[in-house]
Amino acid sequence: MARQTLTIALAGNPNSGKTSIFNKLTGARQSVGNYPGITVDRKEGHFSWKGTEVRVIDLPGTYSLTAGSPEELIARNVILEEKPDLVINVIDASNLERNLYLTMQLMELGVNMILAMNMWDAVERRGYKTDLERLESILGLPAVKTVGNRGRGIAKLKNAVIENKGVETSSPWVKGAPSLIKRAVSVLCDELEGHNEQHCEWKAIKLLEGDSEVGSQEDETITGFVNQLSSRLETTRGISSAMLVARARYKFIEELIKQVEVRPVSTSMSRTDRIDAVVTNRYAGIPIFLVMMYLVFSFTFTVGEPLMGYMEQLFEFLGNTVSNLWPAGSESMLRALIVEGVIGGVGGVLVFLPNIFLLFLAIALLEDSGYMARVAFIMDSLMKKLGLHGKSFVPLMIGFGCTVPAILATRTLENRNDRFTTLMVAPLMSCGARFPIYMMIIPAFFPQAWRAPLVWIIYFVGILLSIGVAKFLRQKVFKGKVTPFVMELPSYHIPTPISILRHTWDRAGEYVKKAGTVILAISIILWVLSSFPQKKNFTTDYDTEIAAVASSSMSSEAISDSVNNLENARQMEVFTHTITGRLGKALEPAMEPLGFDWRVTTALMGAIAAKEVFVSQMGVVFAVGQADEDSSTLREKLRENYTPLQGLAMMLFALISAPCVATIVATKKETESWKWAMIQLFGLTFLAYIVTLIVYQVGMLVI
Amino acid sequence: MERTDSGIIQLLHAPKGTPMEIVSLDGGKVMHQKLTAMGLTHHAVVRVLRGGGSGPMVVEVRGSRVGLGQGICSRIMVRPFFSEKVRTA
Repeated sequence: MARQTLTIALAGNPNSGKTSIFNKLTGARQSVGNYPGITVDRKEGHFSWKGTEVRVIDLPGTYSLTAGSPEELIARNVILEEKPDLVINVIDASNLERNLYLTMQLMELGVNMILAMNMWDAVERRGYKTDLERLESILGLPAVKTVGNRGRGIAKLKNAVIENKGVETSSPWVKGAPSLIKRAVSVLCDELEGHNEQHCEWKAIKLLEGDSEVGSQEDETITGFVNQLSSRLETTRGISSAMLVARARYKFIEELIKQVEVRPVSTSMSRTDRIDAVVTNRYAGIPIFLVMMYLVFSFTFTVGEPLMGYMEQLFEFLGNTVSNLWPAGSESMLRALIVEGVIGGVGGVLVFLPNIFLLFLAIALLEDSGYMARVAFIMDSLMKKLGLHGKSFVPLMIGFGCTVPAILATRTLENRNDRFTTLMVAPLMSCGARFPIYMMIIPAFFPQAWRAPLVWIIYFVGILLSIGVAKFLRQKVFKGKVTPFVMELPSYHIPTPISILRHTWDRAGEYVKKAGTVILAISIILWVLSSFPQKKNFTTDYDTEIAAVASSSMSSEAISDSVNNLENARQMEVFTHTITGRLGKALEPAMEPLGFDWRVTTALMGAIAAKEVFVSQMGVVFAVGQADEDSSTLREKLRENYTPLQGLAMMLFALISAPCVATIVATKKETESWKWAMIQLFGLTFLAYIVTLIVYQVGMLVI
Repeated sequence: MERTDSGIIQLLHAPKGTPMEIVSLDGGKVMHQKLTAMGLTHHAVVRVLRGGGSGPMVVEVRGSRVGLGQGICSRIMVRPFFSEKVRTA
């Protein structure tokens, strides 16, 4: 049998379980790209089944196919332009009425289609009697029962894909539509066919809906006809043609459901309603959310800490092993590069992987269970007071993971003012990359009992500042009304471990990738900058002095103290001679009022490249000139050199100041101008300076 | 409470748990498209699950839960919904 290739597209509502179907169909064979000129992810995957190779395009999740949002436009344009052999419409079978609305629109496009009746377990659990055969015969489409997150029905779905005969669909509802609409569709269709246009029925319907994209492509005879018709409808029926079309679709769906579905009469509240009664409660909602976030961070800390210890040991072992490849006493630039630059730099960041992973895990759990949608909901009234939209909250939440996807996620906000305000303050949400900074500093200075509350406070400071900045931007820069809140609150469900892990792994994978590429490169550059030019002539002959002290008659404690002092002095001389040291030194006067010396300043400069570089740079700065046998860790070094107040100042500055390079690039891309990216960069750095200055100076007075 | 002769009120003031029928939706084209896609059309039956107070409302419409801001809720007009028989009688 000759090998065939098919291209199929997955379409469906958000929350219909489309992603889990896509994952189950394609397994690991996936790739993510971009649609040209627009910032919507394009997910593709492959599978082969019984000798057929199938390419799967995962369309953005949409409720409709209007020209009103980029996702909806993309979904319909892929179908119209790339002409997939087949579309799988993923439907939440426990919520047919709303889901079939998209089905109607897909059928209007005249595509060859299969229905994946997903979440079938919910249908069974709730005792709905759904007659699939009836549904198939009315719509003329094959339907397959699936439970995406448990992988049920996937084989049948694959069979249906390759066995599909290719029935062209048409709009089933037009026949039963009000005569005005029916006539208008047929007249328009004839007119369009006279122009040799394809998809005439679909275009006719879209014209009646006042679709801006289809409308702009047609000539005056057609738009004139449409306008005339709409104004007649408007005056005689008091309703727009778009409304009539929507109603006709729903009317058909209502009739269909009467024939195929029977629901048991239930008097008890559903599980979702019971949960919602508590978590969206007017008074308890926000406190519950805050407790949730607190639990997330406590979980990350308590479970993560021992795992982090293992990671530390691993990299220490790696560093020592590589060091021992060189004979003792020999000076090698290459060894220093590998041990201090590469293992020290990348290792210093990867050590935090367990914590990052756990944080992403907790966020994925909240997202996949349906709780995050409630968060947007309970936050809407609060967000509105700040001039933001309830939906701004979700991108900002994602910002706790990583700022870059947060900035991309602002695309769910249709209004430019809402969107830009959200995007500008997104870096103030403390991202996962800043987490290692707190993980390094907090345990170095603060006792166990303070640790979780302190992380919570730092995050809270970010939130408070974002509120202030957003309010300011909304009043002074992005003026105008906030767009109204409309959002689906999906039913809660217990996410499967696999889907959670997959979600988490995708994001943690990004972090590892960053560590392996950008951070590796930056670590090497920073190592070079902090190693060269090398100092040859010292002000004092440290070796001789150390030897003299060591052989003196002082107590062993005093000897080790003065040896340490001498070592530190030498280190200082070596480092201040390098490029980084000089830059840090040059900036020191400006940074001193914040409690930062030149070493912290250099590490903060590194943090612009990527926030977590702060940690590795601190590692490099303190490791320079340090003997290998010395087992003192970075935290001990910090404790020796700085006060807890300085530690706090470092965290605050790292939290607020200049977003990382990736964020700057994302902001530029999303706003389509360098202007906003630069305003964000310098504005936030300025804010960081002011806040840290106040905290440090006031702190000095109090302590 | 704003009330007209025919018992038409803003969705904002609709009592919790009572089925209400949408009689009109105000707002621009994009807003209409959004509401339509979520199932909020003329003659759709909605049930308030959670009142707004000072925040958004949750309504049940066409089998799904939708959160709606106060602004929109004041521009959707509803009246009590009676089953088909009662209405035609």
